[in-house]
Amino acid sequence: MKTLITSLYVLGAAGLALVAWLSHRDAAEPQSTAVGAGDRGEVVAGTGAGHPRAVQPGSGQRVPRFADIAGFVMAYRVGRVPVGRIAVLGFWWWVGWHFFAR
Amino acid sequence: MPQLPEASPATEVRAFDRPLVMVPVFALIAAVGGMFPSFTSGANLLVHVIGGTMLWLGVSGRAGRRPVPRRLPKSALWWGVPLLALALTELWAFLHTGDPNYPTLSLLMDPVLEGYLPRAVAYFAWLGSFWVLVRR
Repeated sequence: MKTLITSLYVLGAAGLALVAWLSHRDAAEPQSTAVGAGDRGEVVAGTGAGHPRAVQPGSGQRVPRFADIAGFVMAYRVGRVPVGRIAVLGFWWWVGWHFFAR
Repeated sequence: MPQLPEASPATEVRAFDRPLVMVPVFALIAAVGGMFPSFTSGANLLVHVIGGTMLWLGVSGRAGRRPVPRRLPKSALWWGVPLLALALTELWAFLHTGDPNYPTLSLLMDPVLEGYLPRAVAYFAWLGSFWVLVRR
């Protein structure tokens, strides 16, 4: 059972690495491939690179970076309280404590 | 209509916002953090000082923020596949807490993080990703 669970963790981590690679590959695509995507409302604001993200050829959509997803979640507010930001940063604080201090 | 980025509440570039400054700072903190074993006051103190500072920087926006998307494409669901697999595996193992045949991720990582170098590297990765989150 231990081997099975360890394998599942490894598979999950490999899946994360694969999706991360796909998202970075999409971000590195030439800007010209994004032409027309804006008309479909599919291009989400680029981050860091300073230009719109490219669209994955064939699929019509690029895979967003994990930081984009985190930023989207962190933008969630209830009134003036940045609930999403506190939740995500608090979770990452807990992760550090759990692995390095507990 | 293309989705435009939200206005960044703080766009001023400061010295501590530059990778040339932050990477050595994080490397230094990670080098120190790697020296503290788990369950020690030093490890707890350092993690909480860093966590508290990062949370304050992130919520206050003093570190500046990069633009974030207003909506996500459906392809964002691809991230859900490995994340769900990891979460369900962790939950499955957590439901069998105490049984060594069902190790949680942290139990599997404990022997790895006992060594100074892997611990310092993991500390650096945690700090770096924390900084990425703070800047969103």
